[in-house]
Amino acid sequence: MSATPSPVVSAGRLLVKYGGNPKPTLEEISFSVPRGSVYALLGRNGAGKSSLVRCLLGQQKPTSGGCFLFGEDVWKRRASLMAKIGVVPEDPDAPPSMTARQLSAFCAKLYPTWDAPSVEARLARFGVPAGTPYGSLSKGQRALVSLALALASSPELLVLDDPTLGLDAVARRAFFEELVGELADRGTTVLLTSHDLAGVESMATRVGFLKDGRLVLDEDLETLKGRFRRLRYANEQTEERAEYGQELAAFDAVRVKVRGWGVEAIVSNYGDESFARFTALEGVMDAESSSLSLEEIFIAIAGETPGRNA
Amino acid sequence: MRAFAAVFTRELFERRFVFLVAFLAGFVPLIGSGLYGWSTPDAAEGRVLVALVGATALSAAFALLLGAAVIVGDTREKRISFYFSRPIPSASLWAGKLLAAIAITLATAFLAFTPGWLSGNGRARNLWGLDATPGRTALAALALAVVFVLGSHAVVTVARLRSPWVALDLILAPTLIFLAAVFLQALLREAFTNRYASAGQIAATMSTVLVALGAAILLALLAASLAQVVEGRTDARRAHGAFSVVFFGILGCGVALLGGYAWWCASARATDLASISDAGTAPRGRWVTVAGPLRAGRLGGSFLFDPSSGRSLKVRSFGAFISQDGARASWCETRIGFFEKGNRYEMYVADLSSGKAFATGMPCAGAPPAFSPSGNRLSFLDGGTLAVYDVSKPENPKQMFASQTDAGSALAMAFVDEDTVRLFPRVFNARTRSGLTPESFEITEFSLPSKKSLVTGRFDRESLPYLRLSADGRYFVGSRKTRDAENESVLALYDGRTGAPVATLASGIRSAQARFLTGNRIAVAGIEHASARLFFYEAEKGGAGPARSIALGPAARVALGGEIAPGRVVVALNASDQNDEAAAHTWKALSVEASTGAIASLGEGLVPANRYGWWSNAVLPPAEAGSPAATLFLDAESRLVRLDPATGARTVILGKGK
Repeated sequence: MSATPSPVVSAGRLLVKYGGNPKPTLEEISFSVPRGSVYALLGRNGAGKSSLVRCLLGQQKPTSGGCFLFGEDVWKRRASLMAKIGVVPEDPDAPPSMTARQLSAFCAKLYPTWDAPSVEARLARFGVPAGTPYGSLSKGQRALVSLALALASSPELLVLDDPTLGLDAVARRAFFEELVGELADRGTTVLLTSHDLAGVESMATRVGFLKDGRLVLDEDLETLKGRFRRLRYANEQTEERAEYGQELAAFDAVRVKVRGWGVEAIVSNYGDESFARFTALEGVMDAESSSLSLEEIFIAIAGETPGRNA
Repeated sequence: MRAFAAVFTRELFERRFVFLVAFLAGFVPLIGSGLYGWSTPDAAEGRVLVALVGATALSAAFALLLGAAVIVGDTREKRISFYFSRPIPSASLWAGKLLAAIAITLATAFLAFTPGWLSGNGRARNLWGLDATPGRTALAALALAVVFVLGSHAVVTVARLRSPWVALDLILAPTLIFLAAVFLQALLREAFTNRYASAGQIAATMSTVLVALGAAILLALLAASLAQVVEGRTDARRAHGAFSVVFFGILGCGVALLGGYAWWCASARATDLASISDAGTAPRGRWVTVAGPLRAGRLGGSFLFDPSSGRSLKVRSFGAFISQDGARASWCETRIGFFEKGNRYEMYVADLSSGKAFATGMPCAGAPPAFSPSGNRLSFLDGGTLAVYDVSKPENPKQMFASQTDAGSALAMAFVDEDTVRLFPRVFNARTRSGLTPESFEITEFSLPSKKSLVTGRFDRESLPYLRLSADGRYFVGSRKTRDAENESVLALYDGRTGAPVATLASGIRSAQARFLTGNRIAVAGIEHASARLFFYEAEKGGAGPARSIALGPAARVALGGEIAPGRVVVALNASDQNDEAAAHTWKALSVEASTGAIASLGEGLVPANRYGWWSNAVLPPAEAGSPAATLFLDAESRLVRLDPATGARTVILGKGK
């Protein structure tokens, strides 16, 4: 028998409230990130992603509940745990007067293993000047410097808090290419929040959706994409019906729209057998299913309440 | 340690240009000196002064800026997360940033001061009379740097983090300041209203309190800023909260300790006296006045004390005055403080039967008060006004009489009878007497029923009216110094109404002391030719010389007490003229029979508690012969003891011993 490896990241009944706001920013969130996985934490602005990341990094104490990295309480053991973690923050936070080279030299004094040449090499690859003060770099360049610094200590966990926010397409591509290369080389565990869902989709293995402070979804990306599908079909009785989508009950339709040609639905519980039975229903004609992008799933979950747009 | 060093050096590196500015500023005094042609010998000191002022101003400005920027600036601008996402312990981050700010402040001060100081050949050492040794200068600079950096940090934490905790800050800061002021006022009152703490002791105590308060503030700033980083981290609201809770928590504890200490000092009882420096006995009754240093670091204190019950009343004044019947006491209490306006002195009256003191609200100043023979009337002075109150109900005194006087506060007073108050001039300083008008030496009587005053007599300029009044007010004893022999003291008996000298009681006798006995007899003690003598006079026959003169034996000092029994007087002799601890053991107490001159030993190391003292019992009537007060002594350990004259047994009543 082999023991189940402890998750790299875990949170238990995490509650975050800010004074004066009766509604919690995070409502008893519990989740975990297995070793080697790439966990994408998604949610609209204000969903609580950054609060969750700060708690997970031991920078903010939750109102209740706990956050653990490598099985240790991060609030209590932050300093030692950070030696195993690389962080790329949402907002560039390095001292603006320091150059990338100086930042690397500063970090070299803190980490037991620090690969300063790798920083120089990555910056050269990114085309970011190593001798320019951090505050004088563009936002994209600052993100790339942060990534180079985050990777230089060969971290076991990378935490990327919406690192490509505000970056142009070129910088975004460079960022994700570097990240994918790093993952391929080392199998580093990654916790990622991002608005760049296309980029996330290319590398995430597991996805969590935060909505109004609650984790409404937490599963493997493949499973997610397997059960979220778009169904299109015609229905002879369309014009006479007062309600639509009753025949979709087995699929847990998230969104149903009536088009001129028939019905289009986003379902969250797709299965081949269910679909076969669906196609056999009276009045259902020309039914077809297609897969959804992560962005489409995100919009379906985060955007509107299921069924309301019928 | 590595993390601390990394943060510390990073901060220094980040602000390296500050050093250049300070270095260049250091040459300003030299450039100024050159431009304005300072070439006199004072020029060097001038350069040092300019360098000192410049360096202080520059480094203070840097300290304020750095204190505001190093932690709060990073938190406010959301850059502190950079450090928290690295393997840097929170305490190392705090220490690295703050110590760097302090180090930069000190370094800039050094750089800005050194060129000017070197050009002055080290003349700064005694600048402004201060002994500015390098060690002291460095310590002062360090203290200032810490205070400036942390103070600035505290202010900016409140101002810039802008969390709801600011409401707590705005409530607690003025509250604690107010409470600290109240407690300090209470301590000041305790310190300055007793004469048994010297100015040096008071200054030492108050400076210890202030240093402790300063240390508490410094500790609060250090701990609060540490908590702010450790508990707040990137959360500005939580950081502010941690700072406020710890800062005001520690300061609150400090202020509470201050309050506790003030209360402890104020609540001291006579039984807390470590030793008895001075004691006085009432004409009748059990109560005594005792004063001395208090144990365990409290300030000194004066008390009214009832040895039989152990009750005590604190007297925040230069002694209390007890009525002839021993039922009441009174004293004028100084109201020292930050919040006092107008009336700074208030008369207190104590009902000794109940052991309760009452603040009457009556303003008073200057001369000691006086009770009428019944103890129901109290006269005292408030500036130029003589006031008489009915204090038969001490809790509710009623004014009976008030009259302007011209003699100011340099007066003594006594009730001749229940309806007549007599005012005596008291001009202690022999040199100032020569410039006073004749009216200043007048004896004035005030009739309470008619509310009229009458000048009944006058002192001559040679008389020093240190008064010791006879029980019926007919006579008083004073000292007299002749113009020709300024240092020769003559003890004289005066007519109480006219002030006319009746008889010379002692002349050519050192340390002459006098005490009225029963039946208007007078005991006079002093040193004559290195030997103690005791004389007994009868006031009615004052001019006829002493009724009896008794040689007590060789002595350098003598202390005259009261009548331990009718006609039996207590004296104590000391072969040493030193007032030190060893001499305290060499006192020998004797009792002398006035009628026969028989001398009996009462024991060694004892002086009578109600011994004669010009300063304390100015117009106090004599203690009743044979009263319990007459059996009280101070022993060599400065304890108040009761002596059984029959057996010689001593019972310690007050004092812990040395």
